[in-house]
Amino acid sequence: MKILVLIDGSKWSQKAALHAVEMAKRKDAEVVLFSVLDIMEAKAMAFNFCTQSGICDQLKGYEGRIWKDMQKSIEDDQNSIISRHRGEGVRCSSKIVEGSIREEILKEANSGEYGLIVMGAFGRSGKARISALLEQIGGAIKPPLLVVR
Amino acid sequence: MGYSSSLIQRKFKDIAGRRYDSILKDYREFMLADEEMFIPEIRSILVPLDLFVQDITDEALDVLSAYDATISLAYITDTEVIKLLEQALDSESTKEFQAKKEEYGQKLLKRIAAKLEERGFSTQTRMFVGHKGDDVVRMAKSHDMIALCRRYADGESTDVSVSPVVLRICQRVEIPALIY
Repeated sequence: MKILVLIDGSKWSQKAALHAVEMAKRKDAEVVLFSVLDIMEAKAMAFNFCTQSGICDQLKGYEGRIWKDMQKSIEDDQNSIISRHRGEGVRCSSKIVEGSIREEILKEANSGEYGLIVMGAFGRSGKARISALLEQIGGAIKPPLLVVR
Repeated sequence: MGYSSSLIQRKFKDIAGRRYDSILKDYREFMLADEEMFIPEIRSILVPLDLFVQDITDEALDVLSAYDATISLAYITDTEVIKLLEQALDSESTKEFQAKKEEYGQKLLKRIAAKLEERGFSTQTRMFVGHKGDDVVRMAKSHDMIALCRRYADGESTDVSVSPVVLRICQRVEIPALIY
């Protein structure tokens, strides 16, 4: 069995990885940490920050910096998770793609490779509401979906 | 220093400094603390059933088999439907409807319990008239995990979304939820 874990940088996705590794130990499964980077997110963050701070002339520069930071941050998160579980006897790999979050997740999750998808109940906005991602992808994912908190 | 603390300190090394404890306190919704880095034991799994849940898929059973847990099957008839029928129909017809629903529920519980037991799960079953959301959230407090069919409490819709009741349950329970 292969287990796909959706990593978005939130604490909830780190918890999802914990559950996935535990499951992998019990089922002798392989864990794939999966993240999608969407350039629109960098654009939105740069636009909101620059317009609110009155520095619209620096918009493009901020967008580039935020995009680079997003790439580095998610790589760091995935590497940290892999380091933590090294030595626990679980095969763990990482995959980062760029594109539309919903489309890329559905493409990967429904590729036929995975027996379980694991994600956090909440996103990076905290516990205020259930992950918007769950509403977007929950019904379209074919394998069972474990939502952890 | 634990894994989480080291990760947080690395990310906040430039701005946190001595303020690390206060940041961890104020932003605990965004930072995984070391004490949260454990997986509770899964000993009991709640599986709500209704008219719209025909089965537990083999894929879901494969996942659930990872835990040495008792599966509690609960067939729930919506109390609002019964109330509505009582208002619209005579008492005899309502009783007949309820009896048919109970007969269906018993058959479904028996069939699914047999399938689970065949695969080595220990099971418990119960059936009642209640609220498909609130009662499940209440029952979830005495279980370690919940497994929900995407179609639970949804009706016959053919779209691919998850039932709104399933989403609300996922939001309100404090335990992991398996959606199948």
